Amino acid sequence: MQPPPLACQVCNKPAEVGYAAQLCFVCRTTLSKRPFPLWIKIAIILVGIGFLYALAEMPAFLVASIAFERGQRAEAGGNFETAASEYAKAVEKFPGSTSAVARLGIAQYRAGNRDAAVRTLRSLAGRQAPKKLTNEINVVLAEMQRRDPGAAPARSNYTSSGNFGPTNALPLDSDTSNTDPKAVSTWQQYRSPSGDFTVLAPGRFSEKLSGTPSAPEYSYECKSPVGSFVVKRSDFSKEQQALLPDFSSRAFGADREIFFSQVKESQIPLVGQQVKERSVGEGREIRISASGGEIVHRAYLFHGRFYSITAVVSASNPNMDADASRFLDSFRVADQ
Amino acid sequence: MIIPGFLIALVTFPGVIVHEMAHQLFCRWFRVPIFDVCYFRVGNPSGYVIHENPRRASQQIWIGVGPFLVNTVLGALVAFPGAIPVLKFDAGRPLDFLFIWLGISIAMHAFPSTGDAKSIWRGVSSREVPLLGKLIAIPVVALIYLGAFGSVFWLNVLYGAAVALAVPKLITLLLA
Repeated sequence: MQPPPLACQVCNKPAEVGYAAQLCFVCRTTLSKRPFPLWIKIAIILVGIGFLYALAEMPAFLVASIAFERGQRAEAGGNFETAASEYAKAVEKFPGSTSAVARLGIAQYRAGNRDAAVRTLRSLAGRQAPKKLTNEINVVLAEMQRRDPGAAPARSNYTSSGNFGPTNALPLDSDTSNTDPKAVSTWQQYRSPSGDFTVLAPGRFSEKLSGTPSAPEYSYECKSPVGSFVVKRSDFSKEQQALLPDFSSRAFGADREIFFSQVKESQIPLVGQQVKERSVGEGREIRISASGGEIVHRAYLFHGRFYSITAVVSASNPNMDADASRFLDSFRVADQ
Repeated sequence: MIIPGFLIALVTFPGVIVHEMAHQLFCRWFRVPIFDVCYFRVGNPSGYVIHENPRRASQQIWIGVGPFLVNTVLGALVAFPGAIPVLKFDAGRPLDFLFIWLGISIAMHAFPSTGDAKSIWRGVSSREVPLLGKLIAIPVVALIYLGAFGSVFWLNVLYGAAVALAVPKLITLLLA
């Protein structure tokens, strides 16, 4: 004989068998479907309305975000026209974004669209920006003002109280304060004795001549607290160039090998290093980033003159990237 | 830095509410009767759901891990519209910041509490779960325990921020 079924603890009807609590089917179902309180339902509706409103803008936000990402990739690859066009899409949606506007201005300048860059960078007047971005803009503005003093937005036009570049061309306030102004203010333009190139550097250059009379090599080195900056020039006659049909690629290849062997020999601590190579205009760039600092090397071939310029900056320098860029980007060859 | 748990729960109370709702939701799906629910209170625990011991071990596990799934997905989803303007373009409006706060709050309460972890462990260690199931479930339970205890070291906050803020970044990177 089977024992009588246990009664539901709520309604006394026969309880379901095999469960921990004595409940009938209806009471179990009812208790499991305990309703959510009204205040939670109201909160969900309110958040839901806000969420749907925000979601309606999502596609445009996502497009801008993707464009910005593509712009950064193009910029890193030296494709500044594409970068500027992608950044412009992001700025269209977020005109108040300092980083997007700044990147657009920098990319426009690097792409050779100086007027647009001036307009774009002018719109940044008085805004706050991270130190790294501020320094980067300063470098561009310094270059602009050096080339065309009337075109670049001058710092005196704005209410800036942050870092200062050598040309007073800073429309931004940096939101950090650990920049060493002494290190910044000692930057000056250097012109080689023969006048074949100019470059900005944070100190004086020592000059050295080596090589052979038929293939002389000029070396200019500036050692400063912010890093070491070197320009080397090797001259090749037309006859020498004619000896090799692919002289240009061989010259760049040889320079690359020499550079890496010198880095190896230098025993500079390069823990966790990353090596990036890219084209910069008609030149080549090799960037070695490591925990201890950065070595950035560029090479150009110009009318038989082969220039290799190198910046070695330590991670202890808070403006590491900006200082290296400032030196490398300011390098100009005079057409002789 | 140690901040009292009730203070963190107070600031991130939407996450506690969603966490308890997730338990309740899984109880509903498995027809497990609920005897009492507290969605939020200033105390320890800051919320709870008292329910019948489920008939199956798998149901007990699902009810325990439910908040981990629901809070993670919902946290990422809610923060998504606000994350791009705020993080990428430093151009957030109050509504964007509201969604980021909601998203982080919800996601950081994804980890089951120590009480939940014990309940999940009871389910996993029962004879009903086959050896293969145990082998799969044990690392998951260990992770959940780690999350439950890791809140002392801000692990829950880090997880919440990662879910709410890194997901939009990841999607952008994938689509770019």
